[in-house]
Amino acid sequence: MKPLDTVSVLIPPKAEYVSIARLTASGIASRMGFDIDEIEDIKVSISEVINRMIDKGIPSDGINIDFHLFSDYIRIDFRLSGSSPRDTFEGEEDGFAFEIIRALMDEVILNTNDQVQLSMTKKLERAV
Amino acid sequence: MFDLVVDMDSTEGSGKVILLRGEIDIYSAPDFKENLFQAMGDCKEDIVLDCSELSYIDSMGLGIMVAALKRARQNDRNIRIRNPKPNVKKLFRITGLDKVFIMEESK
Repeated sequence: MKPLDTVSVLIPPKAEYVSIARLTASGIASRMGFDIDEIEDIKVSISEVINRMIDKGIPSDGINIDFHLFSDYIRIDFRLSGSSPRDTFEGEEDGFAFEIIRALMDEVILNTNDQVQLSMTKKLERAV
Repeated sequence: MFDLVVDMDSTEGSGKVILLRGEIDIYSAPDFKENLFQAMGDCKEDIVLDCSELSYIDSMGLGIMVAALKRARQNDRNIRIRNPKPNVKKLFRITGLDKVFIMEESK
């Protein structure tokens, strides 16, 4: 399914830019109608993924974060620009960070294709 | 922004109160670790981490708290987490750390 809109952010793989990704996520999620708790879930999950990418020290020109906006969910794809080995998260799945991401997001998929290293989805639970 | 303040005016006899302010993420984590361990000193008393003004934390910060707890326990001391905001409390719950630390809601 094609997203209604896509917002892409490219940040240098450095700790000082992670908050930029969080702020962007916060703005997009708020605009879509996610509540405060859900926005916090998304912010933490994004940080956890980027933290792992930075921590691994994989040479890269930057981390691409694509926010795909659908009517009732958001899908966030993470890509490393430049050289992008497919196994960035190898051996990480049982770790602390992934425990958090899986608990906070509705779906988390690793290596969805050659470019996307991790894809995660959060459903929009609209109040009736 | 992150800030750590040791409450020198604390009249509690049960521990040293350390106030955490702002966000603890991958960027501020090294500062948090250095300042927390310095504030803990030689672990002569329990530590109370006042999280009432801590707006954000992720696994980097939680990992440092666990390391600090390990150090405290080596000295037969403990760390208490005081008044965390709901989003912070949620992370303690998800990771099971709410069973590892002493969580307290009020002063």
